[in-house]
Amino acid sequence: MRVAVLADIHANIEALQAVLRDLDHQVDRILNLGDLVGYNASPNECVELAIKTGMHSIQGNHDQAICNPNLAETFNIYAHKAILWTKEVLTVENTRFLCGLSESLKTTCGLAFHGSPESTLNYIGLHFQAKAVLKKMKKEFWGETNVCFFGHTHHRKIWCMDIRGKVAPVEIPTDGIINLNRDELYLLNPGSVGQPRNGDPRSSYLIFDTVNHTVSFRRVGYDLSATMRKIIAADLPEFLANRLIHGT
Amino acid sequence: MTGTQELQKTGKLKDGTKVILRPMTKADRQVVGDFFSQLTPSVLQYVRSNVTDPQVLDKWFEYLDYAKVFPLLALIENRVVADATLHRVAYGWRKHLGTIRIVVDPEFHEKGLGTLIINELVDLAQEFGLEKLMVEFPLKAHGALAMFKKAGFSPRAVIEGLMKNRHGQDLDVVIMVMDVAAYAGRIQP
Repeated sequence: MRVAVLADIHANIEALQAVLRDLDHQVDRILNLGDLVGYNASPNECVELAIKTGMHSIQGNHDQAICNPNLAETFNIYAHKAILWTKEVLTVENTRFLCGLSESLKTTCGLAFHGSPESTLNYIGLHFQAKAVLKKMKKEFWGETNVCFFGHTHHRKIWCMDIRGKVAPVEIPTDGIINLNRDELYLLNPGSVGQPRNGDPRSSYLIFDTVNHTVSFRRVGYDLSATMRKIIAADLPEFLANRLIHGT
Repeated sequence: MTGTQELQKTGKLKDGTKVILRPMTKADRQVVGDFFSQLTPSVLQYVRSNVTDPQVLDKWFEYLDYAKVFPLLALIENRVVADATLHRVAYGWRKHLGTIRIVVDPEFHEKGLGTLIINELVDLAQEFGLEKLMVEFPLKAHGALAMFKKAGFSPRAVIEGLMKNRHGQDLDVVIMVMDVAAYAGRIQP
């Protein structure tokens, strides 16, 4: 089975459409690691396309903030403004869809969560953070799966725990294709579809082949100027539009 | 559909007083001038520019560039009660590092205002992709030391006699640093 793993779409319909075009029926399943909305200006379009394609979605912290006003208050002023705007424009059906999502998903191809297994707000960015999650994964899920997908950081990343228990990042080669070892545990972050922060403005996602146990990281260009125009037209902060040019 | 919300957030002090946090804009020239003009020389001696000079403030407001200096104001009933800035460098070896400067009206010391502002600046630093934050101030400013520690900063260096106070006496300076990514990992729901 081939699974496309998408994360942090963030209401960027041009980016989501470009990724789906790139997939072009090459996969059996699509997994969305959360944050369908927030920051950008096409939340309804993204939720509706996610529903239409039948992708398996979980909740990110921005999706949660739609349903939980207290959580929105903890966001910084840019994210806060964007989430208040999103709440205003989201249809009742789309709001209901986001609020009905679960925070994590256990599938035959691996575990999925947005931030960490404990919270959509936690980041896995540093070694000690990855190690803590991999240790938990080894204790609770070893034998069931050795692959776990996460998002939230907007950075594509692989963390690996070898058979000795040593945790280290794995470099992603230029062709983006990695062979996974079935004896090792992996934390995989596909990067962001709608707001990449790796310094490359193209959308980032990955395809996991469960039979060959390979991962292919992919980047796709999209109509940035259309997304930026929508952000400005919605009176969202210019900063949110400009950052897309730089992929930061 | 355009947004009806301002780019601002509401926070609360320990006593429940509501505070608006928002970026400084060109329209704030008067209220910011009023804020600095009522501060005493003992407070102003630690500010890097002569903010009592109207021309200095005029220049600030003429060249507002959030990508270089992000100015955050705290207001209570339209009165500025604190001014903070997050400084960034676009290129080179300091690109990942932000520096913080903050002036809080002494009337609002120990009321949770400084912590509120620092927490917002840390969240913004994360949003801007910064990895570390740095702040420097006189070692004897115990309140500031406690406030930054509470926000996740740790003291990394003390340089004896580096600065001078307004009376020309040497001051020891403490440099505090925060690892923004590590801090984010500790956030609990």
